Amino acid sequence: MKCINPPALSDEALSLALDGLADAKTLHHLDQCHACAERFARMRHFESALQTRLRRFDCPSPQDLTDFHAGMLEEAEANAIQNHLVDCPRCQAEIEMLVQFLDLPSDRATVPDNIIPLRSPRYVTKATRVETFGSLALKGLKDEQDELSHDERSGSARIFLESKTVATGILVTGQVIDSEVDWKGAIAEVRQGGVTQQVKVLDDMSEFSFELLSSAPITISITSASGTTLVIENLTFQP
Amino acid sequence: MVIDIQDTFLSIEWSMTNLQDPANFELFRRAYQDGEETALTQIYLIYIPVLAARARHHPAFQQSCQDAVAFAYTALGNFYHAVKGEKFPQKFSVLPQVMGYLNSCIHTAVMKDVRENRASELIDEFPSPPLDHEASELFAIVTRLLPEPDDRLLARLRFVLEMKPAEISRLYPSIWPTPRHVSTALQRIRRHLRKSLGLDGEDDESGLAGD
Repeated sequence: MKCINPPALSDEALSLALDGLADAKTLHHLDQCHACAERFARMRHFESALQTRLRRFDCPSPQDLTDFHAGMLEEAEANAIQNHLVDCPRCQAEIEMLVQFLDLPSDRATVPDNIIPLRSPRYVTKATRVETFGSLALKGLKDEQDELSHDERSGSARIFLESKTVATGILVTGQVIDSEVDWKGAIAEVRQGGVTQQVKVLDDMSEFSFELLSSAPITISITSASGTTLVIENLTFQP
Repeated sequence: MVIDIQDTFLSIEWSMTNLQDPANFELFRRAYQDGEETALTQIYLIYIPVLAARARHHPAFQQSCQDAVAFAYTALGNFYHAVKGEKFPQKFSVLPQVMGYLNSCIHTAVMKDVRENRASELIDEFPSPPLDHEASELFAIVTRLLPEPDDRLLARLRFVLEMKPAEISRLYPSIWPTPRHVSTALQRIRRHLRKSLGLDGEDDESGLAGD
């Protein structure tokens, strides 16, 4: 494909366009000429490919930067971050932002919650129900009439839930089985009507249990130590 | 001061209006040091709204893709894993220390989301980057291909830290006095890298290529 309005744009002109510094003549040329626009697209693709692969690859995680600022890291880790900060304006800016945030007065008025989430964060996974059956395959309990077992799948995790009627309401026990994420010590939070009812810590077998006083739908959020969250929404257990 | 957990359970309203009360430190201690789940539940009930309100004031909140309550949950989860058990008394002795670190956890949650959203934007735009190397390996190659220290610095500022020419010239005015100087240097680096990494294709139709 040839430029329709020679001379074709130089690499320097395309580079300026890539950096948002192109003049009106260059932008007009790009708008009219498919050949130059295609060269520009290839340059842009290359730039994005590099940035996708390299983007802040050696920066400490936000958690490490926070712990560095709080003085909660071992000496060697703290020294490594200190050295990184010397040459990293992005991490310097994050630390400055943290300081600014911590300095905000605690009684500042609340702003309206008018932010519309654009997408679900990648580390939050919603479970989908795969089976509901009456026997308790995982834990080998007796198949009693008032017991139900639910099997939820979410990402690499499989979540087994059992319910049983007890004197005070419904006893729900659960276990997360996962080949990728360690759920031992994760936090399971149970909400009913949007209000936290109970918070439990998963044991060494990644099991947890809680009692429900009513049969209203619940949402369970389980957050692992690595920050991955499983969300099981709109679960209903009948007594 | 020691408070009774059962009393606290019945006194959510009291706790909400006395967030800075030293008695709340005991609630945190029981929840995080002793692992009392009743205390942990109370922490969630009391502090989720407080932390969510705080998250809305974070300077990067507008760049994030979650609502403030989600950040509050993430912050409390991270807090638990960072300070549970014997770490709690080693790190905290008064409530303001606890609140300071909880607020830091809000910052962590927001920044993690902002960083990941930017990464997913790039992946969404170009799902299959033609570069197969791991990041550290690729950057080592880029560094080898750019013998000049200023070029290596510029490659890092642009490709690793995603800085714009205006930001770069502001930061290093003695090397690149204007954004245009940055762009000119970048053009040379880009052309060299595209050729050296075998991704030049047919893009040099202008006939201006060649060092």
